[in-house]
Amino acid sequence: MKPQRILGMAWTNMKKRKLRTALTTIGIVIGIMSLIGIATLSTGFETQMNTQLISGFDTDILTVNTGGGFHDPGGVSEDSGIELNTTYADAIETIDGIEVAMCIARQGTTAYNLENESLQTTIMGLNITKFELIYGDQINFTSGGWPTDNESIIIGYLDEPFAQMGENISVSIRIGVLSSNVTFTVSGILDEIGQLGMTSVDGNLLLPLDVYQTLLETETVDSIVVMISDPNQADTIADEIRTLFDDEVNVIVPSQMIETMQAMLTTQEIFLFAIASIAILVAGISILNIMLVSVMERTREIGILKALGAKRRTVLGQFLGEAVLLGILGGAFGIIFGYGMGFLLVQMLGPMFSQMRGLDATSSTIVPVLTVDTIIIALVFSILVSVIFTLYPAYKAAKLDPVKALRYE
Amino acid sequence: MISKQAIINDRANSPSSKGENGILINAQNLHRSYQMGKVLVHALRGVDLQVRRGEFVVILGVSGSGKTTLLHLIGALDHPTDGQIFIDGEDLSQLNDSQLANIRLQKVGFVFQFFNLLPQYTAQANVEIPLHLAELDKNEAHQRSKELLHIVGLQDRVDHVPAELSGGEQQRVAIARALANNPQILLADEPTGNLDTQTGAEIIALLEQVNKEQQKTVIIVGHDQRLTEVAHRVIEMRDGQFVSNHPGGRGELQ
Repeated sequence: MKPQRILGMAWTNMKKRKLRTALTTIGIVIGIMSLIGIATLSTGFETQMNTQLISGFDTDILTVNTGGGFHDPGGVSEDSGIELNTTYADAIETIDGIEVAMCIARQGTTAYNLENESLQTTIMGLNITKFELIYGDQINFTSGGWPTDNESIIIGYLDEPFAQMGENISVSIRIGVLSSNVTFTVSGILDEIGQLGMTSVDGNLLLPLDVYQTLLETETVDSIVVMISDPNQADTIADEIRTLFDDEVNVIVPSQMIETMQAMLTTQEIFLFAIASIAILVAGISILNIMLVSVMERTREIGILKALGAKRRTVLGQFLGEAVLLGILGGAFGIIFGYGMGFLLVQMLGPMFSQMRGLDATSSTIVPVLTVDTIIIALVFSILVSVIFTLYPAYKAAKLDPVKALRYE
Repeated sequence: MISKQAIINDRANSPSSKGENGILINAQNLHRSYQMGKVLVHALRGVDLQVRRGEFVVILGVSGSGKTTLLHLIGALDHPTDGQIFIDGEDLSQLNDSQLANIRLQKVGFVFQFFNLLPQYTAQANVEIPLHLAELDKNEAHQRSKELLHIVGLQDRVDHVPAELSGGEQQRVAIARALANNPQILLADEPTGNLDTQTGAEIIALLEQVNKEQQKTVIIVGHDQRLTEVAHRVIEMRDGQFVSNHPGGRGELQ
């Protein structure tokens, strides 16, 4: 019998047993749906992570800190207790291959505008010359420019609804346990910069480092951003920095961090795919079960077909044809529902996952990504599972003795 | 108008050179026994049968006499325990499963007591099954199945499923299906056993017509005495053996 006729007959059989076909298909649909849901979510995360990290984390930028935040496999895991300051940056700059080492100091604060509205933000101090050296082409002002006196402040573009150019804002400053409010004039608004190394300045208040340090009466800085001339030297230079400070600092290498995150993602994927595989295995076993019952019920029909001259391989083909169609049907619906499930998963798990990975959950929207590869793999997988679990029932049907089959009631 | 002659002149109907003296079926010392639980049942105990081309043979016997077993052996559905069987000069015992399937496909057509149509298919689709098994082109199969249903008088019922057809109509579809690949032999197992008297008579008439007009060799097993009237030869079976073999109502085939 021609393959298309075999498929045609298989389709007629499936249509005749609609409920059974639907129930069998549901098994595969659920399996493939979970697979696709997870795959679209993973791909979505990966895409988002890559764009966010790779664009923000310039591979020639290292970040030195004293622990906390991102774990650095080669550095300290707990806060080492040492306090970074500008002399550390100067020391780092003596290492070969380092162009600039810039100190960043910061403090969480509350700012008030003219209408006495409050804003939770961060006040940052950084060396403007070095900042421009490192991020030069990324720095643009929508209005104004760098402060020229110690009463001016720069705000990020996200703060624009809060305060306008030239307006006064009052910023709460904490020294030790004492808090006081200092008033600044907005002298410049920075355009969007995005992720800068480990930080973002888009919603922050910026001061020149010396102004910041005088104001807060401190020499200590929180991290040192290091620009190197050759990204390929990142690991070597990171080691040199650690050695320089007797392994008491963290040096975060972007490429390493991306690797760490991707490894984390892979682990999660393997776990989720294992769960999806179990769902598909269960679907396969239910197919096996239903096909065995089907062969028994259709014993007489198989006998008739054989009496009419059907060969073993024709009978085998009938059942495998049904398996292929079930696989396509289940796979197609599974892909559609799985894509939908991807959006649901993003809603439910997105913020959690983002936080786990240290990404800003609110500013980044993850979109499930369904690739052609995923579709093909899912379809092939679905058909394969369906066919494999139908092999035994189909073989049983094919080798039925026609005389006995015709007598079967 | 569909020409019956066209079908008659179809392939596979020309006398084969392999048959000797017009003998199409030649069974020699056929034995068939099978295990039923702990008992060994001897369904056939040494049967010799020669059937000539175009002959209409009726085999009578009570149930358990071995007549259905004999029909299955002739129809290449079963293997004899002992003995040989030649169809058109071909020794069935030498054939493998796939070759036996080909014999069933091309050389014999089966008609059963309970019609054995596939309930999910229309009359026409049922007739098309053997045509598709023979890998006929879709349009060709469509055309041929239509002609066959016309021959058995069901030209108006082609799109009905078996559940919408009467017993007699279902048996007509079964006969059309048996004739699909224009086999030389038509085998029927109690074809009237499940029909009322009037309908049974119509089916017998149809089988006679097929024998006469299309020169099919027909072997029918059953216990309907009316069958003997249209037969060339009537054989009676008991306990797996022939007990009588005499000319039927039409006299021996000339």
